[in-house]
Amino acid sequence: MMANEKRKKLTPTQQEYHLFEKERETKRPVVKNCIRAFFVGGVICTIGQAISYFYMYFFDFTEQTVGNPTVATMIFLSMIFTGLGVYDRIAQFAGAGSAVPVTGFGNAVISAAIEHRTEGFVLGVGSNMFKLAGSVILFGTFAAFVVALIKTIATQWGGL
Amino acid sequence: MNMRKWLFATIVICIWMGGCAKEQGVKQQSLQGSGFMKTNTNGEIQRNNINQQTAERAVARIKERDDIKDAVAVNTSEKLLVAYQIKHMHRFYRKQIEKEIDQQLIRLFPNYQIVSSSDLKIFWKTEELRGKLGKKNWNEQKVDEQIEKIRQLSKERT
Repeated sequence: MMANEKRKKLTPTQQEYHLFEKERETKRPVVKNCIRAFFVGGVICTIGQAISYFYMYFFDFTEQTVGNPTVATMIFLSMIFTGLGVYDRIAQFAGAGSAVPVTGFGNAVISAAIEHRTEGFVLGVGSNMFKLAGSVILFGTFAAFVVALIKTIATQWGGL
Repeated sequence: MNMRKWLFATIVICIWMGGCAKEQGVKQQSLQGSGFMKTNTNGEIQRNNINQQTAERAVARIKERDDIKDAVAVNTSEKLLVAYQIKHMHRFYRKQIEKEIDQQLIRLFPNYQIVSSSDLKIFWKTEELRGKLGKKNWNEQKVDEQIEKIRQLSKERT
């Protein structure tokens, strides 16, 4: 809608160019990206499941409590792989498949830390480490707060 | 260089995973003396087999349900420990199923203190305990203690 209104203001030559460009620009391989993300994301989740079974089998963790050590382990592994430069390659191939699982969080923290390493430890690494992950923490906490609020209202007064 | 990176990563993971595993020595030590048989004063072997009929009945009743994949149970004269696995797609209704089974068990076995869980770890633990019952000639108090331990584990939230 917006784009069409803007386009009306363009001169005929510009409009012509726009169509010319649209015909020739490379198409975004959405389906291919989705399939890649699906499979790589699935592999990451399978590894997570294996780790949680490992903790349940060898330690006294139940299905209820196994989440915390599993998440910690997955983040730790993705941080190591980011440091070694392996995770970047996986991310290049998989896109959202490697960014959406919790491993993407570890990648975001470490890659920001590596990027700002040259600016020193305090003002470089220290202040820039959570540049990307900070928003994950903020909105994650906020979303959890909102959901908890809704649940409390629904169970206390809504009679659910 | 790349090879070295992979090697380093593999070593780190192996050491780290290995460090978490229980040591064989500690395991073996705790098993020492488990092969002995307890005897009465007249030299007869003590048999402490606890009647497991209640547990078997509970398992049979739970397995009747079509949303249950597998069930296992152990009982003493006071306590009944039941663990079951819910079929994959039925896990969406997990809380409701748990509630129904709890009520069913309380109705069927009013004289028992019932511990029930759909947790996989509790299932494994219960299965392990049932296996030990057959082998180890534990007395009832010891089994009660084990059931209490499993109950506490199932209550843990963090």
